[in-house]
Amino acid sequence: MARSLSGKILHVDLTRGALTTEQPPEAFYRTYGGGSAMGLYYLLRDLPAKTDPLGPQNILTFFTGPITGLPVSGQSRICVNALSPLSGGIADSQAGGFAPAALKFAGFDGIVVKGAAAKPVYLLITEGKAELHDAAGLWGKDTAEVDRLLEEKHGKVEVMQVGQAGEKQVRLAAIMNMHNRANGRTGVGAVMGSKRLKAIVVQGKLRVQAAEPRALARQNKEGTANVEAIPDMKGLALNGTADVVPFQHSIGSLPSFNYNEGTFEKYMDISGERMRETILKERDTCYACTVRCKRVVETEAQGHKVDPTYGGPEYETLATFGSYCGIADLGAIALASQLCNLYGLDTIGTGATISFAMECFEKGLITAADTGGLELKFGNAEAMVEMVRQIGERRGFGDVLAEGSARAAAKIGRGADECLVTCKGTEAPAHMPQAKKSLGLIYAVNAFGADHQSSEHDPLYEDGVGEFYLKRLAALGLTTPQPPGSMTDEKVRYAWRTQCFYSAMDTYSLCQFVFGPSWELYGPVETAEILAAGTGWDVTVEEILKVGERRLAMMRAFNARQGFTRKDDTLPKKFFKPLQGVGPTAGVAWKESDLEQVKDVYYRLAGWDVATGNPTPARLEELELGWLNR
Amino acid sequence: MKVSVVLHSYLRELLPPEARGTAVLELPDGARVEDVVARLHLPGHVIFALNERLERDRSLPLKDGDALRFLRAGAGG
Repeated sequence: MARSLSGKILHVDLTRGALTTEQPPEAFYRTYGGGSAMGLYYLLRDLPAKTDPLGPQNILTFFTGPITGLPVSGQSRICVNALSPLSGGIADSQAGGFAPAALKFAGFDGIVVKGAAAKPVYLLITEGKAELHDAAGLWGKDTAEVDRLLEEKHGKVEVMQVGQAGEKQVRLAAIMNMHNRANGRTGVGAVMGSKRLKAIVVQGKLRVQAAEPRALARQNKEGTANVEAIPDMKGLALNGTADVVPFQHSIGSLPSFNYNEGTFEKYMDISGERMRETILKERDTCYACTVRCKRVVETEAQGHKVDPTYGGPEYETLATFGSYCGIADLGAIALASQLCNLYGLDTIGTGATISFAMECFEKGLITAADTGGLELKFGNAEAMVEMVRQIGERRGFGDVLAEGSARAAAKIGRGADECLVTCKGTEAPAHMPQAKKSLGLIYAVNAFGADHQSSEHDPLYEDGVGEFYLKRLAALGLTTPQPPGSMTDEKVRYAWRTQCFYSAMDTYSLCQFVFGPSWELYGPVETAEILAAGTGWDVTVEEILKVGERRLAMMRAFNARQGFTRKDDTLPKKFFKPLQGVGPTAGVAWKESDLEQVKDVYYRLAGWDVATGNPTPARLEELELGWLNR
Repeated sequence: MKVSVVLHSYLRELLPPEARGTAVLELPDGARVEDVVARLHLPGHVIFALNERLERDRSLPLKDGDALRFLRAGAGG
């Protein structure tokens, strides 16, 4: 067994209160990699099709990767999977922080949670030993207070918890660690809350070791130098993910007014540059990472302190609570971000759901009579913040929005679905397919809905892109940049190949800002070298791509069991109408026929059935997934 | 002629902190975008918008009152 692995998986049956340890063979780790694919293995093996996502039958998995806990940047990540209460398909969400590495130091590579507890509990894992504890004293408390109480009782610990939103099974609920890092997307917090599992608490000093420590140290040193040498990393370190705001605006990819426009006049007010000049207190990091992209802010807004303990807004958060809602008030956005972390809410889903409600309000589909008197108009920062509170507490109109925008639209009726920006019931993130065409394809076909971290974005494979990026992309066989704004067969190949790579990062549980196909701290070749140095396995780029492809096929196979087919691979209705506003994407629309055409190309590349969009039995066999055919 | 310039991201560090990433440059008639790139010692890979329109050709001529923004091609987030 690779010494970078614990070699142990904890199985928790909350209904029976039973805890058991599995020690799979090393080949299992090599095949499935970790993270998402390992979680999918248990979901596909043990979860009956079409169960209630918020019922006790659902399975919730937490998996690190084969080099989590080693002294190199970008390795402290954890992936959570379940049946999604938003989409009815696969739920999949990653987070960083210190908890992922701490789980390894506590003696486990992953956790599989089944059943539901009769009353609130938390799971305590200390150096290979696991126990369930009464969580009555933690239920209903703010996430920071829960962390404080657990440290008071157990000493230094890392905590993954649901906040009040998860307790109330808000479908936009996240699983929080450090009360400022989130497994945010696809409703995993609601699943954890439905199981009355308040928190997973880990502590320990068990060692994980690299197979080749010197090779890993050399790569780590080069990584530190790359923070200065690679422009994108330099910008990310300096301004966080919010560094991209001016670029997004400039290419017409900054969603504004609920995705009706692609530019935002006051974009500089919500930029990373403005944040650094005004409310930024410090930069934060994940375990052993040299990049330090996390923001920590401090300010006051609407009479409330924005506390540094809750971190600071990412680009996505600035966009969803900012430009999506027509709001340029950085303090109000920081307050909304804090509230999401305090209640345990996905900032993307929550902000996007509020902007959806704002458009409904503007169009008269809902009125102040529905919202308890709130003038839920674009630009109303007070109403936006209040609605975050109402969603987190399932109070007032927030109880309707707590179901996510797709279910809210169905409840509102009167054509509210025209205002939706969802794929497979999940709110779209802040990169626009009108500007980034191949991303539009990925939004449509991705098994867990629109996701901006499932493939490389178009500008990195368009004419004029720098040699540095092309050299890295060549390792994936991508050598022919395409015209800006185009959607060609080669762009589809770019989307597919980079999707396989990104998928592998979610499988090995590696940060996609540190490991990636082009602009990241490490390129594909270095990623293979680091995985090899960590595990002792002779990992190649081709193996990485295969591991990523295997996970994509597993997600599609999972969704197929849930009844998903090609028709579910689509885009929101409004993407087929010309964008409003000004800038390079004004007037741009997707054509339904174009989407269907590129889906054909994509399915063929993937070896999936063009009629159903699902993996063929033969392809599953080739990916060592033949057991899914039986 | 005078041309206003905004530098985004880490490019702002090329100007004094008090400039907050902005400058107004006095340029000779016939100056081009590439002259601004050279004057400010901008790296080769940056992209730019001329009067809020993304352009690729650095040999584009400038005129009095033009506004230039230089950015890094963004990814991530």
